[in-house]
Amino acid sequence: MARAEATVRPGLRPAAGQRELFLDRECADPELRRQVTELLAESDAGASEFLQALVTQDSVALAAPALEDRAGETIGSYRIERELGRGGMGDVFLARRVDQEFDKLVAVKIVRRGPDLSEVLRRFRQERQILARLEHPNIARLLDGGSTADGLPYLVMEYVEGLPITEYCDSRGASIEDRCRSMLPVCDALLHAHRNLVVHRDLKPSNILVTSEGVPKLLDFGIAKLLEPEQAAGDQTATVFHRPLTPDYASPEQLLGRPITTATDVYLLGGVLFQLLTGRKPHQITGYTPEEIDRAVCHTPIPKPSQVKPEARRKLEGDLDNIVLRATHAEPEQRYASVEQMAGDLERYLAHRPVLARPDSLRYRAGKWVRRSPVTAAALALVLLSITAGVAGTLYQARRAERRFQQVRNLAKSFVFDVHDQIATLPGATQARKTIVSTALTYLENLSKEAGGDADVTRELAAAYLKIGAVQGDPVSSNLGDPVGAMQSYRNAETLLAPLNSRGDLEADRLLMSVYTRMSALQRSKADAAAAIESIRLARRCADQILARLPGDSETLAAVVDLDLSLSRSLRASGDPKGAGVAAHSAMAAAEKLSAGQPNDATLLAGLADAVSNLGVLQAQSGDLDSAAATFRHLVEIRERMARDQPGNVVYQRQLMIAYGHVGDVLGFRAGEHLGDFAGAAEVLGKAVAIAEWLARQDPSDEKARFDLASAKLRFGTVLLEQGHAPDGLAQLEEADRLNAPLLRKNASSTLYLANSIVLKTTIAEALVGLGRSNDAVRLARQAVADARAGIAPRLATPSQVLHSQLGLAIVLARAHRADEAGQVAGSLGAALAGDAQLLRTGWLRAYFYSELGGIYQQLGQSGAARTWFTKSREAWGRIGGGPLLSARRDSEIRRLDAALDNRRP
Amino acid sequence: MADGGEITRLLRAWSRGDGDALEALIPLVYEELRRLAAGQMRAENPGHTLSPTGLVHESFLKLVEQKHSPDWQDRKHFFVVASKAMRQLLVDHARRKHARKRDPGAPAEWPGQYQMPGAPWDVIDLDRALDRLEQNEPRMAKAVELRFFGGLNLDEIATTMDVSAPTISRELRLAEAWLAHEIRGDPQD
Repeated sequence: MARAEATVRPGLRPAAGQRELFLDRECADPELRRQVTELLAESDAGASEFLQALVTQDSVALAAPALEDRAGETIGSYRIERELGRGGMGDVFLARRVDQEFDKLVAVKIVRRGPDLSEVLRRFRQERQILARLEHPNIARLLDGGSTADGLPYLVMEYVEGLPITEYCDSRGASIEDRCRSMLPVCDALLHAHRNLVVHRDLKPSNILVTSEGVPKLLDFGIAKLLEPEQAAGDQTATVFHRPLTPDYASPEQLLGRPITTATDVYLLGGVLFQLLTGRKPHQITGYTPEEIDRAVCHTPIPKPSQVKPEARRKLEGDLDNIVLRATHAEPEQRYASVEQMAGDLERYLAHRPVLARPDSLRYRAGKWVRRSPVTAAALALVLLSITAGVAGTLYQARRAERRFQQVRNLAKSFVFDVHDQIATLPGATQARKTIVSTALTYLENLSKEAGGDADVTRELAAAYLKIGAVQGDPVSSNLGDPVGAMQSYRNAETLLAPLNSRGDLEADRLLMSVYTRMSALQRSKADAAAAIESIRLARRCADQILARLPGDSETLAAVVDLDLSLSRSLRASGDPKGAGVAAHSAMAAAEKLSAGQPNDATLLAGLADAVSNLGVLQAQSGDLDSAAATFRHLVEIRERMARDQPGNVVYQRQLMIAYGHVGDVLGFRAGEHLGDFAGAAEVLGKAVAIAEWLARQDPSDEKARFDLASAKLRFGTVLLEQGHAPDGLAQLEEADRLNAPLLRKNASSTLYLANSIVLKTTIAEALVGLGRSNDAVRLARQAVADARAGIAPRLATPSQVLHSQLGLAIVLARAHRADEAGQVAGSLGAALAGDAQLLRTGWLRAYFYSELGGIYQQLGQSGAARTWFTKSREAWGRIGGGPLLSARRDSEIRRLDAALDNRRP
Repeated sequence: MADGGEITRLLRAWSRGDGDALEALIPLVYEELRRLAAGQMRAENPGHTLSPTGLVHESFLKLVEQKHSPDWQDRKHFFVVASKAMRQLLVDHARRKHARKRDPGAPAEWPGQYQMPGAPWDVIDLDRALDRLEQNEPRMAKAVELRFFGGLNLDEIATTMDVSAPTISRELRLAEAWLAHEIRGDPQD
């Protein structure tokens, strides 16, 4: 090599194009030339990255707290004794339990870096039961976990003293047969884990320690999953390089961000076997650059052991080559279907019987699979079904009863949901999803028959049905579009739970409540209102049963709020305002109780606000304006508090604006029923405008914010007109029109923007005529009528916009002293109203229209017609009743009408 | 902690040819780098990836720029010193790590970060190879040190060493190839 170096040093000085010349001149010796060329090639590719990786690798290690930092520290119930090691994700310490007499040494892992430490903690809480239940003589148990005083997640594991399986075998001079034999307990441990639906994901020699007694122990089960960063759909490269995987052993699917299954562990196990047989790591990686890792893992098949270790070729060639190649096939579905199969082949090899693994010429096209995208759903389903088969198989073993609980739980939770969710976004996965669900259902049905009244099993079964029902047809999330199947699953859950109901089995009652709640959502989505209402009532009964035993139980109270709110809305929609009101009150009472318990909980407060708002709307719609005003004022108090607590919260500000709008509408906005309190209305609507202006400034491109502002200004301006502040009112209205016009231009088909535009034109016309600008006023009012006829009338069954704009036009014409035209418009409007009393939907609207028509005729000097309409209005008012405020308004209207009638008496 | 004025004084002494000043400088910068590295790793900053470049630049800000408006000569000399200190720091750390590795009952390694696990070579191998390069090609070795331990880019290295950028580029490529080969050896070996 020395000659090559000496040649190369000056050799790099010529520019690249001159290299060939230089090589020809300097390197007559072909061997020297080969070496020089190699060196030159290396200088172009990878050398710099390789050196950089060395530096970076150790810089990361440097980035660790000093060794002595944690010694003596107590973490949870464990005192740190000394450091055992450190790695990319965290540190491992030897620790001793402090609160127990017997000395137990444990390994404590403190996660120092990871995707998101709070996410690690959350997942750990989610997974700990499953991981803690992995009891097997060859699995190091996960004992505990939590977060340290400085907020880092930690995991406590059984401490294992031993050597990595490869070193152990080397140190004993183990034969090839011994090495194969050493894998068998490892396979058994893995099989146990797979039956519990836990995949290891990070098998490598250093995670398989052999104790001095010769017992292999698998470490870190499921830990890799806890540390894996959340992956956005479709995003692979971004997260691949931060995964807690070990590239020297990793499977292609791990690197590619494809679904991880038991087949991944088969691959990793094959890699360990490869290393045991050859002494080489399965992937040859030098520089650890992403490109190189990708090349080594995804595009280079693991070679035949016999080729790597020619001195042992006679023993390795054939069966062992085939076993390793089969296990490490790039395509998961081409590997052993289970660890059990692989162990079987190893046993067969040891017993000199023929193995299942056959040479496979296809595997040399390893790149093929990884380039194909995505993995076919059907193939995946096969892998998944092999898991189910394994689970079902164990079911009939002796440990059945004890295990069943866990099996069902795992099936429903991990299998159906983790696996289902993982493939749910794959194109063409629907068939596989259906297969998973139907397999799960068959399995559940068999279990149901065997449940034999065991409450634990029954509840778990019901929970599984509940979840499967959601996958089949939950209307609010991605489902398989099978509402009939979903309903059947819910009914199955109901049947299972019914015998447990109201026997003090709170969990069963809670589940049943969820079953009925889901049923009602499903029925509502199918527009079966009566059935939906019945289901809500059943759910509500379960809630009452729970609350009878646990008064104030927050989970149930929260459910009651939701149930009563949807009951209230359903009843209102089905024409039962009274029942709707009762449910609305009940929802509000539950929400108040809930929020009173935790007054600072923003979510509970928001729930209360929803309940209050629902009640207010209901009261306003049923004409109980007194109650509506009080309820909406209460709503304003809550919304003001929420907005004060979070001043920058745009949603809260908007909700407060809407609450002010509700109060303003009830107090004095003319387009609806109101109490005639224009001063009060102006006060709150002014606040609504202020918020709407602030919101529109936050995001000038937000259409909704501009629509909100236009609506607020329309209301505020109208109320100002009512108070006699014509110039100010007009300014607000014109500003509202300026905001609304571009919205309407952009969304010409929007009824909402068009309706706003028509109301604005009519109202602006009334303001203008008051200010003496009659021509403009009449033009606008006519335009409003034309717009309403053209744009609204064809679309809505009861086009009140048309009537309102006609009335507005008549008023404007009368005030502009255009008597003939006014009489004409009023006449046709009056004829229409007289012809169909139901044209105006509420007594209030009738009283209002009749009174305004009377006023027009009075202005036109037609006292007879005025009298007729005033009298009709008085009658209509007489039928309106309610609280003291509404009654006072009615009485003052009647007094006004009486006075008008008296004046006009001949 | 080292005083900025002291550092600047030593830098100037060194640039005037006072070899003892360099001896005095390296431990000061070394200590600051170690402190900065530890500080970056406190729990409030988990997930932070530490880079030698960042450390060296930060130590410059802390040690020199804070108290004195540095002239470019000071800056130049500081990076030469800091690169040496950084190299020493990483090597010392790696040595301690090796000592721990030989601890009996050594544990399973943590599922490592992507670029790290199982790499059979570390910064100690680079240090040794760099020592050998230094004996024959001191200028190349200095360029490598500035690049990988000081985090300087080509132009900065060229300025610091008063050599043209194309020359440095060529020498670096050669040095890198030679070092990589020294460390990994011949694949056929």
